[in-house]
Amino acid sequence: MIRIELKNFKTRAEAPVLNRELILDPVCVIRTEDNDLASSVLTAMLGMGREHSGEILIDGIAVQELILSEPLPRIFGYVFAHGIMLANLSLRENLLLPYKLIKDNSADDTFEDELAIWMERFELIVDLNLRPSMVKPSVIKILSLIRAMLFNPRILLLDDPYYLLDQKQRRRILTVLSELRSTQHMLINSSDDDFCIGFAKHSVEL
Amino acid sequence: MRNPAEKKSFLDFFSFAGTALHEAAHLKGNSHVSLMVIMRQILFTGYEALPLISFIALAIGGLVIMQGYSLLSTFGQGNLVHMILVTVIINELSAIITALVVVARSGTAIATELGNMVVNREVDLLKSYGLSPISYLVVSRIYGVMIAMLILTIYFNIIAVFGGWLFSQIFSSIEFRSFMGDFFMELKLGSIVMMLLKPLVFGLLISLVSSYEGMSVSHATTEVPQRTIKAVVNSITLVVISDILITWIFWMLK
Repeated sequence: MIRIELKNFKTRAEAPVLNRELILDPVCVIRTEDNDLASSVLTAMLGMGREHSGEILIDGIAVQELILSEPLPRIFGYVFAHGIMLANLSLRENLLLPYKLIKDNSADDTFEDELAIWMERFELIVDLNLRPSMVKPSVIKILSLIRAMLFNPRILLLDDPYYLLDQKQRRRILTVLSELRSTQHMLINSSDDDFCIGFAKHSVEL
Repeated sequence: MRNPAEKKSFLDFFSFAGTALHEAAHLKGNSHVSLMVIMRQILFTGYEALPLISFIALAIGGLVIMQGYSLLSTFGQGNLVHMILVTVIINELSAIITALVVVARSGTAIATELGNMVVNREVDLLKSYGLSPISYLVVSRIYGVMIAMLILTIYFNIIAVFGGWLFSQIFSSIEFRSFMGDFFMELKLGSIVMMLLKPLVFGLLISLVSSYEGMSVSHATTEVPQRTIKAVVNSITLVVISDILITWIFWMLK
């Protein structure tokens, strides 16, 4: 179980002040009327976004301190709602980039093995030599989730997991996330009723 | 309502430049600087600009010789044309014309590419890896543009001098070896140092300004062309100012 505390947290000057506690046991789904607010909570945990103020504590440790202790992808595996990738790199290079920077180059073989396992798990068949603009956004989204999971992050931060996915892909991602639920801490932002009903026992309204 | 593209102040540029230069100076301990990005930048800024630089250098070398020869020969001083070649091309024109070409090609490309990366949240993606976008994107471009500027300026000088000799054949048949011998007699150490220093300074300024403008895009794609125009205008302004300063310093040291 991981306890996340938001103390006097504001995403921007005119936004309401948040003082909340989120318990990851091991999953917590947050939902808001203003979807941007929940997204900002996730990005603020990574130290992104200049406009937010206040403090985020994880098990009593400030996020700013925590992210100095080890490589960021090992602490937080962040998956953007749009599944962002660098346009000038191939899919494989995109997946390999953080892996190479954090693990050493000798880890290339393990990368291919781990990648193959995850792609099979998501029933994903795609030519990884293609550029991101040449594949569907839903494929980018699933690959982004794989990219995050390759580091076995302490907390998986998922922004709108159903966004961009078709029915079949939604079922697949729900199955994988359900399998992961027993071992992987997750903080998920979703306002999708289907996802919340199908996955989270309870969701926290911010 | 204030345009988000206008929010940045002049001080922000110095803060950005300070961070970029600090990270560039600590290259050894900075594993985030990508050798691949540096090589791609040299390829784009340097290698792909060679045909345009060759054409301009050949033409400028020829024109300077033609104008210089016709002017000097009226005073019976046609043999001083090499001095004009050194003063005008080596000391001044080579670096500044190369800089203008690099601004037009690479400065705009850097500002546009980085601006689009910000809009498409690719910069946020790098941050989510714990990567510094300045280290990964900007420092690599600074090194790439500086190296390419230096190589292009040296290349410009070689081609311009060759162009000068080629065009000088119109007025009098001078042997290439004799032409080059007279040219090297005029070439002083100060000119060589200035020829090497200017492109490095110009390359640094162009890459810093273009990267800063690109990274200053906040949300909308409409900001990208606005920032690209600013990158061109500010780069040219800073290049000209620094050119005057360097020339003035060398003139004072003479």
